[in-house]
Amino acid sequence: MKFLRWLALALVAGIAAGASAALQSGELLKFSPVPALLAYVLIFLVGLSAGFLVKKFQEGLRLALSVTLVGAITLWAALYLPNREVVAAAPELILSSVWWGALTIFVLTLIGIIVARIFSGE
Amino acid sequence: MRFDRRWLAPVGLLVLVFVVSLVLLTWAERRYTEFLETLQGIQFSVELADFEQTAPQQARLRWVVTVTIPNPKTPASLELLDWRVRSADERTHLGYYTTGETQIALASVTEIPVEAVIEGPNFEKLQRLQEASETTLLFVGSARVVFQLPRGRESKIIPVVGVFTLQHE
Repeated sequence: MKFLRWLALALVAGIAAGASAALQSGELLKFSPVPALLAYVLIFLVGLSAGFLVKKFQEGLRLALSVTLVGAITLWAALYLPNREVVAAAPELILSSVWWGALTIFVLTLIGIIVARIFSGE
Repeated sequence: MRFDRRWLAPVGLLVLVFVVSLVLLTWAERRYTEFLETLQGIQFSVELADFEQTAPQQARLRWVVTVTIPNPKTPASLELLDWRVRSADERTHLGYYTTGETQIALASVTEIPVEAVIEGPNFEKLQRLQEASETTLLFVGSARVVFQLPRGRESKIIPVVGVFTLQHE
């Protein structure tokens, strides 16, 4: 896959996955208009759509890692910006949410990519 | 630049998820920011409304606790849990009081009347303070503020502190 196409895909998928992961984080869950389950479904759909856009599973795995990286940064920004005064003094307050969110993004994106690759006949 | 038609459905799905997730996140962030602003802006003031001796060894004090929330956007209710009355130097304790579990819906300005009957040893301590012209007292309490959020409730305990002066009879 061409680098620019890869970058655009990783950015769009990563931001979507990170925004969805933020909705199920402990900080924002009570303020979210949707239940946590829908946030997981959205992350899975990111993986599924990305899985149809890659050619091999290895490429999908690399994409899942890129999506996780961009997603974790998006998630961190989503949790840090409203809480910057508190987090500046105690960053550990959101680190566990970012860590679990990143793990969720990686696992669900990878599952989505695997399902997409199976449907694509790989 | 060629665009494979097979990519149309996954790209469309990805763009849809991107837009939906960002809209939902923006909505949640706005509610969260409003909640933080409400929490930071909440202010209490305590004023003595009435003080009278109702029996030889008994006095009744009435206060008005005013809760101010600038620009309230998150629905909230308040329960004044308990409060203590102390001398200004905090050496003399004049009793512990509670109203029970009464929840009051909060508006931008909410006035809550509270009352305490000081009697027995606490009344004697109050008399001694008055005789010594120590009429400035402290109201030290706590309030539970319950915020109604889109997916649940969040309660915070907030200290309520006020200074008031007893008028000489």
